[in-house]
Amino acid sequence: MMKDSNGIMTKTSEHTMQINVGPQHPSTHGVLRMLVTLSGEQIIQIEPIIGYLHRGMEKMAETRTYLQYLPIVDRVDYLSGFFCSYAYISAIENLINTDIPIKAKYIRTLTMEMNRISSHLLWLGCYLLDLGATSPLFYTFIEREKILNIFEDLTGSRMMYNYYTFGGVKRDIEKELLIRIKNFSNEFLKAVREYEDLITNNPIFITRTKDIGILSKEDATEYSITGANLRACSIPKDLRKDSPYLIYNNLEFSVPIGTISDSHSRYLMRIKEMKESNKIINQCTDWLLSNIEDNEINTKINPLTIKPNGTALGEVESTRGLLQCYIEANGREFPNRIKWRTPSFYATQAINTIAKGFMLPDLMSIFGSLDIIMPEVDR
Amino acid sequence: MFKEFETKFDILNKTIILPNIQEFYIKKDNIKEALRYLKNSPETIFSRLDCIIAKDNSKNFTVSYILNSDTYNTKCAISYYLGYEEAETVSISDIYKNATWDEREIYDLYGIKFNNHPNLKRILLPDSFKGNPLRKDYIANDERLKWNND
Repeated sequence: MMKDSNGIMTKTSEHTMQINVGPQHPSTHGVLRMLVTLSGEQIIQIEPIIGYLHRGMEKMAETRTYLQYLPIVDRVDYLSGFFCSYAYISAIENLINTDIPIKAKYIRTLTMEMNRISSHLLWLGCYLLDLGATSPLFYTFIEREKILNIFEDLTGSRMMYNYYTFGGVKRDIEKELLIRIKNFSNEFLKAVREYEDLITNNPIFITRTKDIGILSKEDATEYSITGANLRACSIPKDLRKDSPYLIYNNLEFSVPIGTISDSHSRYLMRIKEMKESNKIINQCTDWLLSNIEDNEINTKINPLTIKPNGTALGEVESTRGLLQCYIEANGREFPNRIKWRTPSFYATQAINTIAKGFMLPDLMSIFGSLDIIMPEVDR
Repeated sequence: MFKEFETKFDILNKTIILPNIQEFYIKKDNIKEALRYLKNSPETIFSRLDCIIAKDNSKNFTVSYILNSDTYNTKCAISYYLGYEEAETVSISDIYKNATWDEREIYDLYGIKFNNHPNLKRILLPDSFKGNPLRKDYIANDERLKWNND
């Protein structure tokens, strides 16, 4: 008998073998070590060992002012920096009781949804690369490049944006850029159709993903899994619908839901999510184009003098699920405590439950489909 | 929603986590009972534990559990204080499975022990690390805490 990190006992025979997957492995998206116990090729148990990318984000917050901490926030999850910024900033805006202008709300929604697409595109390319298909990566990076170029022109940076500020956004969005976004969004559906033609019904892809890595409804709730992984097992939970923030109330979009959460349906969820995000981008650019003369993007507050008091929880439905930033402030210029609740942390924890009983070659198909990103796990 | 809960358990203090999450401070010994009640009672059904947050208040610790109800679409927080010298509490990993790693993280960064935990060891920091960095009395760059100097 042996015990895993969640205390679950598993029977082992004499013919088991333990191997290390990682810490350096092309498919682990960052640095994750998995101690896998095998019987033949069948996985008996996985013990994920994390912490290789721990940067002490929470400790750093204790010695920095709210403004000084702002650029670090993007690094919590480097593929979807806007979401992390928003979680942090919305918590502080609640603490200092500020409302942000409507245009800033639209810009924030627009950038976050574009960020969702860019992150999903990277995931899609890398996931297929994990499964041995090299070409989709090049196709997805064509569209991703367009988004990153737009972000570069808007914020000055391709990945670490530092664009949101307390009370709004830092720079106004120009008309030419909006037209570029509009063009991108019009062409994007065509690109998604191309990916689907290439991947969805591909017999090799289906054999490698269908009925592989099944996550039951109960386990998903027990392990607090959120985002597309949860929605794939027919639980329609999405913060954008459940408790709408920003302007999600005024937007028309649906939340895709699957039936059985296996690797294939998790892939389908993300493809559908990208289409929905594209709808939102379309609506936001339309609004911004018709309100181009409105130039109020920021509530004037001095970020240097912020000394809030109280506790707040900033929440956002990020690319990978529910992202929370808990702030306890005690009236000084430094926060007393900042805690990041990141969705990948919980998905990594559940990997043993999901992958147990499958073959070792399936492990990367399962792990990739969960869309785990390591800097977010380790913080 | 919380009426019966409030009569059943001693509520020491009630606060709000902005924007709208109710936080209840209860006695430390009641925590398991309270969480089991909130998870199973048909009035609340907090089926999901979002995260566990520990805080160092210099004199004592606060441990907060953020609960999430899929059925009623609400959140609440259950908290209790923990003595600085004591730093020992009970694990809830048999109620919510995802608490296992959360508790390991708190053990790692705060040195709070969780009794009956299935596998209590460091998670983010290496096993040879000395000290608990999120404690307010932790001194960075202290000679005595150097851990990677063999």
